Amino acid sequence: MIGRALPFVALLAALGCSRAPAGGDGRWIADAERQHEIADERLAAKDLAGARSSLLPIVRGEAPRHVPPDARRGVLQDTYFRMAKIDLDAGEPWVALADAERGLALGRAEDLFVANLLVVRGAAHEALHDAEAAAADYHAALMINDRLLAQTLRESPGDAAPARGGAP
Amino acid sequence: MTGRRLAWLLLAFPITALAGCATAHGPREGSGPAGASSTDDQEAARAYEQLLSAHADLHRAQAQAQPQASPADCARIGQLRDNICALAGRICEIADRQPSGSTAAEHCADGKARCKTAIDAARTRGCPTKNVVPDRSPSR
Repeated sequence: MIGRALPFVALLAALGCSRAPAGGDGRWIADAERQHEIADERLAAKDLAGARSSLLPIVRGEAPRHVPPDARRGVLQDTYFRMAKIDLDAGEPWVALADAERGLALGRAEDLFVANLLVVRGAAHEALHDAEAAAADYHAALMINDRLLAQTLRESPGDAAPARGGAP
Repeated sequence: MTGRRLAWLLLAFPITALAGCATAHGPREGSGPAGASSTDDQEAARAYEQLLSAHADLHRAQAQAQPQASPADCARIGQLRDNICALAGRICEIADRQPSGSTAAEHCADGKARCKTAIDAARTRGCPTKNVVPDRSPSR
Protein backbone atom coordinates (compact mmCIF):
# COMPACT_ATOMS: atom_id res chain seq x y z
CA MET A 1 0.00 0.00 0.00
CA ILE A 2 2.65 2.49 0.97
CA GLY A 3 6.08 2.02 -0.42
CA ARG A 4 9.34 3.52 0.66
CA ALA A 5 8.55 6.73 2.45
CA LEU A 6 10.95 9.10 0.74
CA PRO A 7 13.89 8.47 -1.49
CA PHE A 8 17.28 9.28 -0.12
CA VAL A 9 17.69 11.94 -2.75
CA ALA A 10 15.02 13.88 -0.91
CA LEU A 11 17.01 13.59 2.28
CA LEU A 12 20.14 14.76 0.54
CA ALA A 13 18.23 17.67 -0.92
CA ALA A 14 16.87 18.50 2.51
CA LEU A 15 20.38 18.58 3.89
CA GLY A 16 21.53 20.84 1.10
CA CYS A 17 24.41 19.69 -1.04
CA SER A 18 26.46 22.76 -0.29
CA ARG A 19 26.26 22.06 3.43
CA ALA A 20 27.24 18.41 3.12
CA PRO A 21 30.92 18.15 3.93
CA ALA A 22 32.91 15.31 2.43
CA GLY A 23 32.73 12.39 4.80
CA GLY A 24 30.02 14.11 6.82
CA ASP A 25 26.24 14.19 6.58
CA GLY A 26 26.13 13.33 2.91
CA ARG A 27 28.43 10.32 3.23
CA TRP A 28 26.49 8.74 6.07
CA ILE A 29 23.29 9.06 4.07
CA ALA A 30 24.97 7.86 0.88
CA ASP A 31 26.28 4.82 2.77
CA ALA A 32 22.79 4.08 4.03
CA GLU A 33 21.44 4.44 0.51
CA ARG A 34 23.99 1.90 -0.71
CA GLN A 35 22.87 -0.56 1.96
CA HIS A 36 19.27 -0.08 0.83
CA GLU A 37 20.30 -0.78 -2.75
CA ILE A 38 21.93 -4.01 -1.63
CA ALA A 39 18.69 -4.87 0.19
CA ASP A 40 16.79 -4.20 -3.05
CA GLU A 41 19.05 -6.65 -4.89
CA ARG A 42 18.62 -9.30 -2.20
CA LEU A 43 14.87 -8.86 -2.24
CA ALA A 44 14.84 -9.20 -6.02
CA ALA A 45 16.60 -12.52 -5.50
CA LYS A 46 13.98 -13.51 -2.87
CA ASP A 47 16.69 -13.46 -0.21
CA LEU A 48 14.75 -11.95 2.71
CA ALA A 49 17.38 -12.78 5.33
CA GLY A 50 20.12 -11.28 3.17
CA ALA A 51 18.07 -8.14 2.62
CA ARG A 52 17.49 -7.71 6.33
CA SER A 53 21.17 -8.30 7.10
CA SER A 54 22.20 -5.61 4.65
CA LEU A 55 20.03 -3.07 6.49
CA LEU A 56 21.25 -3.93 10.00
CA PRO A 57 24.51 -1.92 9.84
CA ILE A 58 22.48 1.26 9.33
CA VAL A 59 20.59 0.92 12.58
CA ARG A 60 23.51 -0.56 14.52
CA GLY A 61 26.01 2.09 13.54
CA GLU A 62 26.33 5.54 15.04
CA ALA A 63 25.22 8.45 12.92
CA PRO A 64 27.81 11.27 12.82
CA ARG A 65 27.02 13.92 15.40
CA HIS A 66 26.65 16.68 12.84
CA VAL A 67 23.86 14.91 10.93
CA PRO A 68 20.71 16.97 11.48
CA PRO A 69 18.32 15.16 13.85
CA ASP A 70 15.48 15.03 11.31
CA ALA A 71 17.71 13.53 8.62
CA ARG A 72 19.03 10.95 11.06
CA ARG A 73 15.52 10.08 12.19
CA GLY A 74 14.31 9.83 8.58
CA VAL A 75 17.09 7.43 7.55
CA LEU A 76 16.68 5.25 10.62
CA GLN A 77 12.88 5.19 10.51
CA ASP A 78 12.88 4.33 6.82
CA THR A 79 15.31 1.50 7.56
CA TYR A 80 13.22 0.16 10.47
CA PHE A 81 10.17 0.35 8.22
CA ARG A 82 11.85 -1.78 5.57
CA MET A 83 13.16 -4.26 8.15
CA ALA A 84 9.67 -4.61 9.64
CA LYS A 85 8.18 -5.16 6.21
CA ILE A 86 10.75 -7.86 5.47
CA ASP A 87 9.96 -9.46 8.85
CA LEU A 88 6.27 -9.53 7.91
CA ASP A 89 7.03 -11.07 4.53
CA ALA A 90 9.17 -13.64 6.31
CA GLY A 91 6.20 -14.58 8.53
CA GLU A 92 7.66 -13.08 11.70
CA PRO A 93 5.13 -10.44 12.79
CA TRP A 94 6.41 -10.26 16.35
CA VAL A 95 9.85 -9.27 15.03
CA ALA A 96 8.16 -6.77 12.71
CA LEU A 97 6.31 -5.32 15.68
CA ALA A 98 9.56 -4.86 17.60
CA ASP A 99 11.26 -3.20 14.62
CA ALA A 100 8.33 -0.85 14.05
CA GLU A 101 8.34 0.14 17.71
CA ARG A 102 12.08 0.82 17.66
CA GLY A 103 11.49 3.08 14.69
CA LEU A 104 8.57 4.90 16.30
CA ALA A 105 10.59 5.40 19.47
CA LEU A 106 12.89 7.68 17.47
CA GLY A 107 10.18 10.35 17.18
CA ARG A 108 6.59 10.89 16.15
CA ALA A 109 6.79 13.66 13.60
CA GLU A 110 3.84 14.24 11.29
CA ASP A 111 5.48 12.77 8.22
CA LEU A 112 5.38 9.73 5.97
CA PHE A 113 8.26 8.02 7.78
CA VAL A 114 6.10 7.79 10.89
CA ALA A 115 2.96 7.00 8.87
CA ASN A 116 4.74 4.08 7.19
CA LEU A 117 5.90 2.72 10.53
CA LEU A 118 2.34 2.93 11.84
CA VAL A 119 1.07 1.06 8.80
CA VAL A 120 3.62 -1.72 9.14
CA ARG A 121 2.98 -1.95 12.90
CA GLY A 122 -0.75 -2.15 12.13
CA ALA A 123 -0.07 -4.99 9.72
CA ALA A 124 1.96 -6.77 12.41
CA HIS A 125 -0.92 -6.36 14.88
CA GLU A 126 -3.27 -7.73 12.25
CA ALA A 127 -1.06 -10.75 11.69
CA LEU A 128 -1.03 -11.27 15.45
CA HIS A 129 -4.88 -11.12 15.49
CA ASP A 130 -5.07 -7.85 17.41
CA ALA A 131 -7.65 -6.20 15.18
CA GLU A 132 -8.41 -3.16 17.34
CA ALA A 133 -4.72 -2.26 17.67
CA ALA A 134 -4.31 -2.70 13.92
CA ALA A 135 -7.27 -0.40 13.18
CA ALA A 136 -5.93 2.18 15.64
CA ASP A 137 -2.50 2.21 13.95
CA TYR A 138 -4.00 2.41 10.45
CA HIS A 139 -6.21 5.27 11.58
CA ALA A 140 -3.26 7.13 13.12
CA ALA A 141 -1.42 6.74 9.79
CA LEU A 142 -4.53 7.94 7.94
CA MET A 143 -4.66 11.04 10.13
CA ILE A 144 -1.05 11.90 9.30
CA ASN A 145 -1.81 11.55 5.59
CA ASP A 146 -4.91 13.70 6.05
CA ARG A 147 -2.94 16.47 7.75
CA LEU A 148 -0.23 16.30 5.08
CA LEU A 149 -2.94 16.61 2.43
CA ALA A 150 -4.42 19.65 4.16
CA GLN A 151 -0.94 21.17 4.33
CA THR A 152 -0.31 20.46 0.64
CA LEU A 153 -3.65 22.03 -0.30
CA ARG A 154 -2.85 25.10 1.77
CA GLU A 155 0.55 25.49 0.16
CA SER A 156 -0.50 24.84 -3.43
CA PRO A 157 -1.99 27.76 -5.37
CA GLY A 158 -5.73 28.18 -5.20
CA ASP A 159 -8.38 28.27 -2.61
CA ALA A 160 -9.84 24.81 -2.52
CA ALA A 161 -11.73 23.56 0.49
CA PRO A 162 -9.22 21.99 2.86
CA ALA A 163 -9.26 18.36 3.71
CA ARG A 164 -10.72 17.64 7.11
CA GLY A 165 -8.46 17.56 10.06
CA GLY A 166 -5.48 19.58 9.08
CA ALA A 167 -6.50 23.00 7.98
CA PRO A 168 -7.21 25.60 10.63
CA MET B 1 -12.48 30.56 0.79
CA THR B 2 -14.50 32.07 3.59
CA GLY B 3 -15.84 34.65 1.20
CA ARG B 4 -16.94 32.00 -1.25
CA ARG B 5 -18.62 29.95 1.45
CA LEU B 6 -20.38 33.05 2.68
CA ALA B 7 -21.55 33.79 -0.86
CA TRP B 8 -23.02 30.30 -1.10
CA LEU B 9 -24.79 30.71 2.21
CA LEU B 10 -26.15 34.08 1.20
CA LEU B 11 -27.37 32.65 -2.07
CA ALA B 12 -28.72 29.47 -0.57
CA PHE B 13 -30.90 31.28 1.94
CA PRO B 14 -32.98 33.37 -0.44
CA ILE B 15 -33.38 30.45 -2.82
CA THR B 16 -34.69 28.28 -0.01
CA ALA B 17 -36.82 31.09 1.30
CA LEU B 18 -38.19 31.84 -2.15
CA ALA B 19 -38.84 28.20 -2.83
CA GLY B 20 -40.79 28.08 0.40
CA CYS B 21 -42.73 31.19 -0.59
CA ALA B 22 -43.47 29.73 -4.01
CA THR B 23 -44.98 26.70 -2.38
CA ALA B 24 -46.87 28.71 0.16
CA HIS B 25 -48.20 31.16 -2.39
CA GLY B 26 -48.88 28.70 -5.17
CA PRO B 27 -52.16 28.93 -7.05
CA ARG B 28 -54.99 28.32 -4.66
CA GLU B 29 -58.59 28.43 -5.67
CA GLY B 30 -60.73 30.96 -3.90
CA SER B 31 -57.88 32.74 -2.15
CA GLY B 32 -58.46 36.41 -2.82
CA PRO B 33 -58.77 38.35 -6.07
CA ALA B 34 -57.72 36.10 -8.91
CA GLY B 35 -56.05 38.85 -10.98
CA ALA B 36 -53.86 40.25 -8.20
CA SER B 37 -52.79 36.82 -7.00
CA SER B 38 -51.88 35.70 -10.48
CA THR B 39 -49.75 38.81 -11.12
CA ASP B 40 -47.94 38.41 -7.82
CA ASP B 41 -47.31 34.78 -8.54
CA GLN B 42 -45.94 35.54 -11.98
CA GLU B 43 -43.61 38.19 -10.63
CA ALA B 44 -42.43 35.89 -7.88
CA ALA B 45 -41.87 33.11 -10.39
CA ARG B 46 -39.90 35.47 -12.65
CA ALA B 47 -37.79 36.66 -9.74
CA TYR B 48 -37.18 33.09 -8.71
CA GLU B 49 -36.11 32.12 -12.25
CA GLN B 50 -33.75 35.11 -12.37
CA LEU B 51 -32.26 34.15 -9.04
CA LEU B 52 -31.77 30.55 -10.15
CA SER B 53 -30.12 31.77 -13.32
CA ALA B 54 -27.79 34.10 -11.37
CA HIS B 55 -26.99 31.23 -9.04
CA ALA B 56 -26.07 28.99 -11.97
CA ASP B 57 -23.94 31.76 -13.51
CA LEU B 58 -22.06 32.23 -10.27
CA HIS B 59 -21.50 28.49 -9.97
CA ARG B 60 -20.08 28.33 -13.50
CA ALA B 61 -17.86 31.35 -12.89
CA GLN B 62 -16.50 29.87 -9.69
CA ALA B 63 -15.76 26.56 -11.39
CA GLN B 64 -13.87 28.36 -14.16
CA ALA B 65 -11.98 30.56 -11.71
CA GLN B 66 -10.82 27.69 -9.49
CA PRO B 67 -7.03 27.54 -9.80
CA GLN B 68 -5.76 24.14 -10.81
CA ALA B 69 -2.94 22.41 -8.98
CA SER B 70 0.36 21.88 -10.76
CA PRO B 71 1.24 18.35 -11.92
CA ALA B 72 3.73 18.09 -9.05
CA ASP B 73 1.11 19.12 -6.49
CA CYS B 74 -1.39 16.76 -8.09
CA ALA B 75 1.04 13.88 -7.77
CA ARG B 76 1.38 14.52 -4.05
CA ILE B 77 -2.32 15.25 -3.56
CA GLY B 78 -3.23 12.08 -5.44
CA GLN B 79 -0.77 9.97 -3.46
CA LEU B 80 -2.02 11.27 -0.12
CA ARG B 81 -5.65 10.83 -1.22
CA ASP B 82 -4.92 7.25 -2.27
CA ASN B 83 -3.15 6.53 1.02
CA ILE B 84 -6.12 7.91 2.98
CA CYS B 85 -8.63 5.88 1.00
CA ALA B 86 -6.58 2.68 1.05
CA LEU B 87 -6.17 2.94 4.82
CA ALA B 88 -9.87 3.67 5.25
CA GLY B 89 -10.68 0.59 3.21
CA ARG B 90 -8.38 -1.55 5.29
CA ILE B 91 -9.84 -0.23 8.55
CA CYS B 92 -13.37 -0.93 7.31
CA GLU B 93 -12.41 -4.50 6.41
CA ILE B 94 -11.27 -4.97 10.00
CA ALA B 95 -14.41 -3.25 11.35
CA ASP B 96 -16.59 -5.65 9.36
CA ARG B 97 -15.21 -8.49 11.43
CA GLN B 98 -15.67 -6.73 14.77
CA PRO B 99 -18.75 -6.56 17.01
CA SER B 100 -20.97 -3.51 16.52
CA GLY B 101 -19.88 -0.37 18.32
CA SER B 102 -16.21 -1.26 18.11
CA THR B 103 -13.55 1.42 17.95
CA ALA B 104 -12.66 0.05 14.53
CA ALA B 105 -16.18 0.89 13.33
CA GLU B 106 -15.71 4.50 14.49
CA HIS B 107 -12.35 4.66 12.73
CA CYS B 108 -14.00 3.21 9.61
CA ALA B 109 -16.72 5.88 9.53
CA ASP B 110 -14.19 8.65 10.11
CA GLY B 111 -11.80 7.23 7.50
CA LYS B 112 -14.53 6.96 4.88
CA ALA B 113 -15.55 10.58 5.45
CA ARG B 114 -11.94 11.73 5.16
CA CYS B 115 -11.49 9.67 2.00
CA LYS B 116 -14.49 11.35 0.39
CA THR B 117 -13.25 14.78 1.43
CA ALA B 118 -9.81 13.99 -0.01
CA ILE B 119 -11.37 12.88 -3.30
CA ASP B 120 -13.43 16.08 -3.46
CA ALA B 121 -10.38 18.22 -2.66
CA ALA B 122 -8.34 16.54 -5.39
CA ARG B 123 -11.19 16.89 -7.89
CA THR B 124 -11.66 20.57 -7.04
CA ARG B 125 -7.99 21.12 -7.84
CA GLY B 126 -8.37 19.42 -11.21
CA CYS B 127 -6.23 16.44 -10.21
CA PRO B 128 -6.89 13.14 -11.98
CA THR B 129 -9.68 11.26 -10.27
CA LYS B 130 -9.55 7.74 -9.07
CA ASN B 131 -12.44 5.76 -7.70
CA VAL B 132 -11.03 4.82 -4.35
CA VAL B 133 -13.97 5.45 -2.03
CA PRO B 134 -14.17 2.46 0.26
CA ASP B 135 -17.57 0.91 -0.31
CA ARG B 136 -17.37 -1.22 2.78
CA SER B 137 -18.95 -0.20 5.99
CA PRO B 138 -19.40 -2.00 9.25
CA SER B 139 -22.43 -4.17 8.69
CA ARG B 140 -23.12 -4.81 12.34
